[in-house]
Amino acid sequence: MSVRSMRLPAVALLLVLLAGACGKDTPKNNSTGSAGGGDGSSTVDQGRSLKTVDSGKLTVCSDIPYAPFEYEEGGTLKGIDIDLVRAVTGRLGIAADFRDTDFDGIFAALKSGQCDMIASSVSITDERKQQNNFSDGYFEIHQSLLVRKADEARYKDLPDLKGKTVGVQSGTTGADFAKAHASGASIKEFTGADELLTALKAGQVDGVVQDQPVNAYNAKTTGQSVIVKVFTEEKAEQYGFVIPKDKADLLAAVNKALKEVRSDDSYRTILNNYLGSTAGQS
Amino acid sequence: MGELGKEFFNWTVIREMFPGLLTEAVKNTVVLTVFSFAGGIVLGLLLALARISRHRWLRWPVAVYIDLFRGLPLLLVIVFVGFGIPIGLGTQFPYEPLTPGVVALAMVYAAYIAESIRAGIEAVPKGQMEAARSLGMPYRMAMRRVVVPQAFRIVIPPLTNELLALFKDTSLVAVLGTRVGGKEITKYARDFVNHSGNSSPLVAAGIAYLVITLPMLRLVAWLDRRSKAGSR
Repeated sequence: MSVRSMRLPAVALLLVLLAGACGKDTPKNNSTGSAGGGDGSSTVDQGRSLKTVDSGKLTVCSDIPYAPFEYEEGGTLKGIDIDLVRAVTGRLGIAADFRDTDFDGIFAALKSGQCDMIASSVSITDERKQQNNFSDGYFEIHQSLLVRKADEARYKDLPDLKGKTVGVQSGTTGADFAKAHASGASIKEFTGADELLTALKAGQVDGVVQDQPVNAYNAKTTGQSVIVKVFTEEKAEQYGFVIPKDKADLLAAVNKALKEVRSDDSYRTILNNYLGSTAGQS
Repeated sequence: MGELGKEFFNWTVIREMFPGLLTEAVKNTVVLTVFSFAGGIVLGLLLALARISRHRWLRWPVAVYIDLFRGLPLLLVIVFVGFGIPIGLGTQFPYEPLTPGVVALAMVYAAYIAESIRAGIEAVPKGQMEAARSLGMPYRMAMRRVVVPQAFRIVIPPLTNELLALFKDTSLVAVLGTRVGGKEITKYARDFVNHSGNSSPLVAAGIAYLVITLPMLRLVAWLDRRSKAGSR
């Protein structure tokens, strides 16, 4: 191929990239202008003055399904994250619009301006904090090991899965945990939590390492799997909403609304709804 | 250009992808492609021959197979083969998830390849078969020695196109999960984007695909020109 005939597609590609970059720049510049928000104003004023990806609503990236935190049932979105976000945006006087995004691409989606915030059972880690801001933590979890009910007696802990296959979801703290602690096992990564749980059922993985409430929900709803170990000896992880570093006003507004939601009964009602009244979150 | 350059052409990030981009990602993409295409060619040729068979009981089910797999999304077939069959039959593929991925790709591409080969066989002038038969060759021998070899010359450009499409479609197999060292180019790059928070790995992945697909595209064009200008 001659240099000449290559030039045209290269220029076209560059134009497309530039167009995309310009499109996302505009809202970003606007939002930094009104940073701060001011704690004195009411939550609704604070919410309405936010500059968001789609004006008038908060676009939220979430990897659905991840029950009981985000899932679809009968054509509507449900879950702790979903209801909590709606409670928060309700306080801010704006609507919430959810966008289903694979977890392994979710931070890139946030960065590329497809959403204002991630609400997807994201554990707060130091590594993730380098790239983005987190809201105050809203839920505490431990990692756990889920196996098929038939294997309940055989596999009690990760060392029992030596030579077997342990399934995890790409980019999650569960994946990091398994890589660090399940050294004798073959680790298999999935892009979706739904495929991960299907693979356990299909017998392609022998154990699943992920957040305890999600494994517990699968055990409860399918009746075919069981949690054999919750890794409570490790430090608990906190879920937080993820917000880009350049949206300090959004972070302040979300934290303020979150505090209000937690100070009255609405937070507890949401948890009770999905976890039953025994939920031990403060 | 500075901001954009850092996002798409961050050499520090791209350098971290090596040597895995070649030793793992490109290798696995090529392995998936080679096995799937080999399976697709063998199955596709059998399907094509059955499709033009004189026996209705052979022609019919094969026509259904070809329409079915040309009409279904590849991702659905991959998920069905990779998850549906093990759940339904309670057995595992060996070398999983490579094998179910290859099986699904080969099954779908065999349908496309069969149609290309059939068109090629039908493009061989009828006189060739008639001449071979009049020399006393049985139908099978005439097909094998006279018609199919000529047809293959005709179908090489469309088959190269199928190979190209298959090469790119291997990225879908990652839905079945990936083991350490088992990621193909797209999944490998997506994981780097996830870790680095930078889009440059996608550009590197694109270049890795293009390094292989661009020469192939040129080859198709050249073969196409040659077969049109050829002695035939």
